[in-house]
Amino acid sequence: MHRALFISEILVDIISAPSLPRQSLAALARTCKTLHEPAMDALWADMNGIEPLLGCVMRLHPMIYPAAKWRRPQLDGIEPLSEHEASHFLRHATRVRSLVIGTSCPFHLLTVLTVEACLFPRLLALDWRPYTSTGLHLFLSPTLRRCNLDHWVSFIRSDLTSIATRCHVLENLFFGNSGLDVTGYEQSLLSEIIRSYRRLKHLTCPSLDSAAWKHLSNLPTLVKVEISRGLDKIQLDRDNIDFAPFLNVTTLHFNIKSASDIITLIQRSEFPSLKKFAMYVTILPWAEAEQLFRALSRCKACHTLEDITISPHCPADERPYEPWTAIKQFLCIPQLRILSLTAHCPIYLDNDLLLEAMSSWPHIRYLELADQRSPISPPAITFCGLFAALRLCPHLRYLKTHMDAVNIDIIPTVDSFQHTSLQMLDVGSSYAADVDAVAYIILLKLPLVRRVCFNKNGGSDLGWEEVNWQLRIFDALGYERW
Amino acid sequence: MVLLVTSDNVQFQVDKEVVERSVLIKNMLEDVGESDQSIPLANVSSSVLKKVIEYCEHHRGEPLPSADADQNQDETRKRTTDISEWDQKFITVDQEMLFEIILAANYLDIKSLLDVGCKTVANMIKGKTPEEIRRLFNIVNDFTPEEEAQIKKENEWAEDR
Repeated sequence: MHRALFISEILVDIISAPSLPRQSLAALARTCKTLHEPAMDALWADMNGIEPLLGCVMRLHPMIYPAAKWRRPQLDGIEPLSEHEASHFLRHATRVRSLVIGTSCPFHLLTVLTVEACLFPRLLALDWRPYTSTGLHLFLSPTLRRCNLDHWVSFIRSDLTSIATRCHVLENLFFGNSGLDVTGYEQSLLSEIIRSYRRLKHLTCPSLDSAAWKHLSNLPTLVKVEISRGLDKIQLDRDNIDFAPFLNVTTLHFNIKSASDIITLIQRSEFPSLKKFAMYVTILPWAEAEQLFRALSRCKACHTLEDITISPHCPADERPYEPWTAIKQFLCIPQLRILSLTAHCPIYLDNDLLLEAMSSWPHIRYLELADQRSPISPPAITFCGLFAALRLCPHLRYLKTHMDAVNIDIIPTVDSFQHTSLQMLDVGSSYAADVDAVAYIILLKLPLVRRVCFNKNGGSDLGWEEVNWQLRIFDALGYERW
Repeated sequence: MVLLVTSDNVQFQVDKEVVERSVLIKNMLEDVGESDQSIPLANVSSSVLKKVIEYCEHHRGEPLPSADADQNQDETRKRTTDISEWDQKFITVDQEMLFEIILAANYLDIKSLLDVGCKTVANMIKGKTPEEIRRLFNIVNDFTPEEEAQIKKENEWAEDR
């Protein structure tokens, strides 16, 4: 055997190569004693379930590996492990670094192990999927850095709080969304747990109360917060809120019913490092939307924000629909690369504003303005305005906006401008009248756009099928796009 | 230019930018400052150093992993399964040379070359039985039959089932 294979760093590098499947690691572990330990460490590092550990117990081996290979192990009604058997179970537990516990874990076999000591002393990541916290304490290693609790709502309070007391270095904490609304009691419990962590980097959970937000706002380690559902409205106490600046938070992602608390949060803090803001909200009334745009443009995040997505699921019950003024509000966000607004009301945009926006966002790559229900009619963006704006944003690859493709206001051959980055143009429910002229403009000015996307929902003929047909004909006839 | 002297006392004049792909040599140069002093590489033979220099020449100018590169960056690099076409051709050498290049890359601290070598060895192992791996790398089986059977049993979950 070459002397290189006796050097542990080299051996670990070989064994941790991603191309090695677990069968190869198992084969390596059997070759000799030198390769055995590192191969076993790699093989047992990521486990899905505890059955392989139970398979090390002689009595359980035939049940874990039934002769009929298609059969699932049947462990119901089996006697729990004895102390001696538990030592076999634990043989490779120290090697496990990442563990997924499914909904049908045979915890009843582990009753002898109800000791305080953790079974997996080097565990870094735990993905806990049972609907109960029974047995959870056995897996709470002090080394744990990542913990995913899918169904925490049905856990016992003491089990949840024990995560905080036993896992001091936890960095990534995920409280799953069970699909149920969280009660006030569960909310306060969640807040209590979150407040006990001082090293969180990434938190995913249902809506939080003021105390939890206040704690998070002071955590210098925190970079990402994802909020998914929870109580209808926590109702942050607006008159009594004093948040720290969320110094290093780069990503905020919300999937919520109401935006009002998040607006308060943005209004009352600074977010000097925020790069990505995404909000998927059930309903976003016009007044709240405007407050949100203003809050985002006025906090320190306006210097750093690169990616904004705001998307209400349902229209608010308010007519007539006032247009969103988001574009105007976001002109002061110079680093913007992605802006995606899906509205159920018009989004105000005309040629002048588009030009101003593109001159304000030199890095923009993706611009989606999807006003689904009531686009301003007729659209205030014309080809002339579009191409004037496109000259200012050389990196734009995706553009979705309604446009006036009926009143053509350019002669495409007058200048040689081409936008050589734009690959996808979506015109929503705009109409195209002179399809040959429109197709020719696209052919000459947007050489990477092979077909134009549009809304087919209305079922009406918007003319774009014909435009795309004409573009295909141009290609078939060998028209030069460059 | 930097003068490197190999274990078999052969001298190589190498461009500083090329040789600084080795973290070891880069640190040594920083320590001694501007000097004509040669750098002895007691653990690297001339035939191996020639290959290492060929690799460093080819990858000249590519970004180096910074000293304070975070763990994620390191993991991402390791997790990439691909070996570029040039690297694959470069590393198509006999097994002795392959392991000597790996040793040199480890000693000289050239992470990307170490990766290429280790991934190549991993690819050689892939799909082989324990006996085939032993034959491939001239490994002596120092397990008793009982010990080997026990390991096989414990790792049964990892076998094709």
